[in-house]
Amino acid sequence: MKRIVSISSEEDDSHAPPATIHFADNTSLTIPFVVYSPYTEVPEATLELLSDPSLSAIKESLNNPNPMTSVPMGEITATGLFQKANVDGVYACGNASLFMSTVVMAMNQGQMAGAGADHEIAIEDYAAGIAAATATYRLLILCNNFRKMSSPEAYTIAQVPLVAHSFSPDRSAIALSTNTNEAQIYARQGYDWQPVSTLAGHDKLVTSIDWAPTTDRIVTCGQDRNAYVWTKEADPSSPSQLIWKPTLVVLKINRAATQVRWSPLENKFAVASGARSICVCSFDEEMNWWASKQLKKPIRSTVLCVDWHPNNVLLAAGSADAKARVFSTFLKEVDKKPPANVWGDKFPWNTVCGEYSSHAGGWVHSVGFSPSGDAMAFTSHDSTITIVYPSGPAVITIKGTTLPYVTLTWTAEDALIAAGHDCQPVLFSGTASGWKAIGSLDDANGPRSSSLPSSVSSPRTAGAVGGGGGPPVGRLNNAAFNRFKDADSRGQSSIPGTPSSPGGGLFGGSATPGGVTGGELMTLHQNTITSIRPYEWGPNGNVTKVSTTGVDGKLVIWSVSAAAGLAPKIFVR
Amino acid sequence: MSSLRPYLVAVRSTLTAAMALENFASQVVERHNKPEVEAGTSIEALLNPLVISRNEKEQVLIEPSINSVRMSIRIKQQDDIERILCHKFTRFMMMRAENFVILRRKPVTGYDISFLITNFHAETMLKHKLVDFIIQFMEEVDKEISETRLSLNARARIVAESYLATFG
Repeated sequence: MKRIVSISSEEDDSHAPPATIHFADNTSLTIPFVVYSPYTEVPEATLELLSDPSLSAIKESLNNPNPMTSVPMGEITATGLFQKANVDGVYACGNASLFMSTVVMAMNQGQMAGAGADHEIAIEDYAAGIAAATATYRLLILCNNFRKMSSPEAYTIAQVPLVAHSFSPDRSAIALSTNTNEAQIYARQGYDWQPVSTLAGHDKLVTSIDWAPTTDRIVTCGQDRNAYVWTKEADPSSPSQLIWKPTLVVLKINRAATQVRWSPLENKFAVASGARSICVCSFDEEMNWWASKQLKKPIRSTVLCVDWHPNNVLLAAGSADAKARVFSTFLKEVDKKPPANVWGDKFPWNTVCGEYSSHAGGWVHSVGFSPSGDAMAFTSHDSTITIVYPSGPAVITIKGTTLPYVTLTWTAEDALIAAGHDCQPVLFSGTASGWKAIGSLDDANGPRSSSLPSSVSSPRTAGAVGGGGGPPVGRLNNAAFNRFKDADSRGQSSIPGTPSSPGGGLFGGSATPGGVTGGELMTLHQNTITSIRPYEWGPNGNVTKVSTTGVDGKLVIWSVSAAAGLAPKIFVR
Repeated sequence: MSSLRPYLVAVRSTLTAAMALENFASQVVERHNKPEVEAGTSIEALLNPLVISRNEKEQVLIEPSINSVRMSIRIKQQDDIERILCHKFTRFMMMRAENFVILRRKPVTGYDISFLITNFHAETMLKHKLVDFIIQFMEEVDKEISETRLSLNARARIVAESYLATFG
């Protein structure tokens, strides 16, 4: 029995076939093809790999009408053999280019070891259960449809707003604020997310969550003016169980805390607050609590967002007084003196290294340092994104034509993704000489990985949209008539994706992003996106996947590489 | 008289933009979370109010803020009968404001009916549906009042005829 260590592919960021499976005994197996099965129909469709394969046997078994197909296993090195074979819902394909990428999920003795997506090949160790002489590994196919590989994974977690989210270091769990005073931890179970534990401690809304990637601690903050650091500890009643224990954080603020972020070294965290201050917290060994020191000057209003510079000292903050600032949070007892960088030479406590106004005086909803820390971007309520290069010095403002963006994340030194009230993440790209929007990650015409929830509170059904009067009779009862009636009486265009009317200005005929069909938006998220976080990184350090959560209770994982195909779609909608 | 459509388009897009709301705890009172447009204690949390006017009799006032938007409608009132009908109609609605969720119990001075949409409403209801609801309300209320006026006049005529018939 071999244990799978990892799975890689030639194109690292895409997991495209041929994929290579690495075993614990330093051997590896290359799979040249991908096998699909609509798992709704054939949930157990498997491809069993036995030793010493012969290609004719593979072919034969694929032609076998029995969906429980068996294929010999071993060093399968043949490539491009199967264009497409269809055996009762089992598809094999040797042409990798047909499918842009495949996410491979490894299973060791039935345990999931890697992350999966809509298109998954799971390799399950069946050695224990099946005669040892023959069976070793099976390919378990969980793909539920033929779809473009870049299509986003969407999960409806709850029918309540998701205020904030943060993934566990291994991406198998997610901490969520479900618009209550308790943070929830959900774990991935197959194609679903199930609640596993509750972080109860706050007595008002949990506004922000951050899960430290290396120290595996969670910090939460809430409108009850408190923050807690949660660590995994053995349950005193049953020592085998791990539970999350809160540690007190002495914030000393008297208004709501709005956002919390761990510093890159995870020895400090910053809490933005409505008390016109930012608390920078570090651990006090003597007292066994997190002590805080406040940045107060020159903040004049609620701080809405914070983000750390990679040097662990500089902190960007955006506030409701329409300013984004860069502060030094140098703490003698915690930090080593940072080297000079583009933001300055010396960084004593509370140095304001930069202060930038939003273009038209909108609240600054989100700030972010670029991966190198040499640039900072912020989004504000005037629908602009401003990118600051202090070395230039250059301040670039991208004026949007959509609703404001409330959250952003950098994906590379020259690219960022912003999302917000427009319900779709938009990729921007540029350098110190200029920035532009590349396109939305949400392809309105593209496939959807989950059916949209029908139980969302909707006062009227699609059929009643046509207006309050009785049903139109006779020849007036047709779609075209209703469309014009809608357009005339309610200023609404019911044709999805219709371009704005010439005189319509900003929103024109379709006021809501991407148009509306049957009362639903054409975007995956049906309401404001509240937070966007990096999910997966490529080998070159660039973010390849991002996750978003929204007021509609959805969690969506988007592939950034999908943006390569976005260029033709710039501002189509 | 200008057409209804551009007026509703303007209201729809303004309202859509104004409904970009977020949860915002009071920065004045500890542990409170108030609609800033009603509290009015933090000036920086308010946006410029704006009036969309079809004519002097039909206007909409939209007052956005960081976590709430107040929208007030001045309903068309051509004559005394419409004025009475409008008063009765809005009064009927506002006495039952809790059933309408986003309806304000009192209108803003100078307007006939006001709605207050907070971020909590925008969370529990789909934003574009809320906009649809208000647009539909604006459309219906005019129709309702003019229909009531017509039936009132018709009834007055019948009553007068049957009354006078006894003398004829």
